[in-house]
Amino acid sequence: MSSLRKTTAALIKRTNYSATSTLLPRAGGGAADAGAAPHDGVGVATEIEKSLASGAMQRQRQQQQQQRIESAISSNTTAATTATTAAAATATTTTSATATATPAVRPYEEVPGPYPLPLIGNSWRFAPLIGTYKISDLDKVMHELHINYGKMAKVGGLIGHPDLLFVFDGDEIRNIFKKEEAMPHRPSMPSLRHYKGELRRDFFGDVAGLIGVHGPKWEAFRQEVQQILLQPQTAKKYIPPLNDIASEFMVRIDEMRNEQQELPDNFLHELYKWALESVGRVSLDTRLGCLSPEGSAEAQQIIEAINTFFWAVPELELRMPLWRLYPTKAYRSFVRALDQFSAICMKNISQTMDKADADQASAIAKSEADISIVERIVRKTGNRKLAAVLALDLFLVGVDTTSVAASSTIYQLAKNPDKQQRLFEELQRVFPTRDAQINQHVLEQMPYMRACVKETLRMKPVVIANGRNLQADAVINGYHVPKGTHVIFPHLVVSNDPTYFPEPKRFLPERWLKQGTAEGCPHAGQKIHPFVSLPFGYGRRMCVGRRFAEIELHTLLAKIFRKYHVSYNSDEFVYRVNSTYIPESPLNFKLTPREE
Amino acid sequence: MLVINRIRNAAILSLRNAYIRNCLSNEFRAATNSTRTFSLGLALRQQDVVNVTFVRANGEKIKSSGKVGDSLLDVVVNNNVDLDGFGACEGTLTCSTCHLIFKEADYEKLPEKPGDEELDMLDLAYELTDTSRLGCQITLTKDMDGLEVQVPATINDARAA
Repeated sequence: MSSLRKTTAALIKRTNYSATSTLLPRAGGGAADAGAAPHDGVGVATEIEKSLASGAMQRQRQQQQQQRIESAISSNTTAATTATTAAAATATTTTSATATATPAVRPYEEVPGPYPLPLIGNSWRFAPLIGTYKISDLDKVMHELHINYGKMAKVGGLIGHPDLLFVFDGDEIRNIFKKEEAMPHRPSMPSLRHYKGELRRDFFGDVAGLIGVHGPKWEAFRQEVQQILLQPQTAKKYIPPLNDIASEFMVRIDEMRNEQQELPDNFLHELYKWALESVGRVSLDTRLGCLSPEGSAEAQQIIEAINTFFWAVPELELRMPLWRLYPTKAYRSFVRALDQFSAICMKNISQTMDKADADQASAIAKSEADISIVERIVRKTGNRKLAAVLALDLFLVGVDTTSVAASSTIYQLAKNPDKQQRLFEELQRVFPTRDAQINQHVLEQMPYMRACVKETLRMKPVVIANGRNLQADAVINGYHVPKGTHVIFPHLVVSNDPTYFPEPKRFLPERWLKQGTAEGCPHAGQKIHPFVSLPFGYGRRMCVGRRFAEIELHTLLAKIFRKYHVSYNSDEFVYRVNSTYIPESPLNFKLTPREE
Repeated sequence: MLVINRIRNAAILSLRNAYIRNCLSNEFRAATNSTRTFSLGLALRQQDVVNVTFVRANGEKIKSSGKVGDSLLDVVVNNNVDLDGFGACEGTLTCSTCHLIFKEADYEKLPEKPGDEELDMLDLAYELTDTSRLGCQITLTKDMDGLEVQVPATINDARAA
């Protein structure tokens, strides 16, 4: 009996403790609440514990009553005692099972991280001049957090922003991704939501698009477009036009080289034009004309607008949100950029859609590659607005991302001549001459090329981190984490951690080759943790442009490395965070033509 | 307590899934199916029925069927086969929740080898084997009649852990 009382007392004590110290949402409710707390993992556990505890108390009372009755009757006591002892024994096993299962979970307050100051919390760290966290150095900030705090670090007390919880552990990242497969919620972009949902609501209405949108609205939009964008078979229909654009860009590359056969320092900007031309062709079946030597004023404006947008987003979202009070400089540039961008894109989108309607009316037979994404979506949904908003989103995120990935891969191969040689040998087998023409068949025969891109994106992912907004309480790394927390997966840091990738600073595409083909790599046999390097994200929120990005990258890189030997004589690349992770260094690659 | 917790979470998730799937079937299924048929370019004939058995980790067998040209994911969705969390990305190759394990002989007979996109996603699956495939990429043919595939346990567990 006494053992039962002891465990019950302990349980009650612990329940009180967790109620006060872990700030569980419905902790005060008692047993009746147990059924009404469906979403909180840990919360539910505590509720059930409590109901068990009160159950145990009830049982105890019943037993006492029973004993009184028994003593009054004073007969057959031994049998009754056996029964009560048995009951006590069962109760003890149930409670002790709970006791061993939960105490490992530590309260959220104990998660390590930089200490927030009173009133101004941690926001000051991102403030200009006094703050130590510069947004363009966010990569270093994340690295520092990992070094100082280990597997996970909390940056709390951000004004107007939920806590950021950085998770540096592959298994924990996997757990969070796997749990949220149905309707994942990513930390939203309040700035973009403000633009689409409030400032320009008359245009966007209820069609908010994909970026920065969540819940049923996002679900409905994604449903409509993902079968068209992400099915590898649909994306492959656009290989011929993407091959043509890359060929035109190769002509530009040839012309751009100076007497030393070096590309201009601002070659990244030229890559932007290639990516923009590609996005325009695929999504609108329009040639924007970015690749003509004199350039296109419109293309230039789009590129500048995109760059401004990406500069402004972290300025607006990580610093104190003063833009909610008055239009700050970043806010004004942000709105101007998006307005300009939308206007130019809408003009082109309208043209495309009018043409599509006309074509459909006159029943012109079109090849699959000439049906743009916008047209496919209008045909499928009959909704022009939806198609236009998607095209806007594709333009916004499909330009600097692909270009930066291309420049980083060229750089790594230029700095690692032995790897470049191996790639060249693969390309030589696939393409008999220097002029590589890409089709679906050859794209499937370049495993080393794929490995080179994967390895580059492991070392320098274009998007340095991904995240989820927890939709329910969770236990991460042994700590209770409340719902609403922004969990950040800093892929840049984790995929450069020697725990997961030995010698992380070395460019070893062989890591990614399937066994048997991975000769020459000291780490070939090692199994790669699949959730550590996820440059395109995972699951239902995976990058919707991934298929196109990969086709564009493999196509252009195959052409460059089949035709030229590439070297780079300037210093190591320096990167800066501008939402995406962009090389700041001059891109003056030296391109020497190969002899067939 | 963890066990109770798991059961509860699983129940919640399955409810939510059922809800989402309901919405799907009402609003989007027509659209989704038409795209699939379109992308596979196959005409379906009513009489080409292929029987498939899904075997859960606990040995329980679920008999179901589809038409020639359907994917194994279509079979699960169209027949409401109770596999919680299966096919979260609706066959767009962005997750690994339709992971299935084939018998070696069946695996060898599959008409198409996994593509690069499928291999990338398979790497993310729990309990990966040498005869693993993603159900959304397997298109039923007449010779597959009577096929038996194993459903890894962790499709369910991963979501409730």
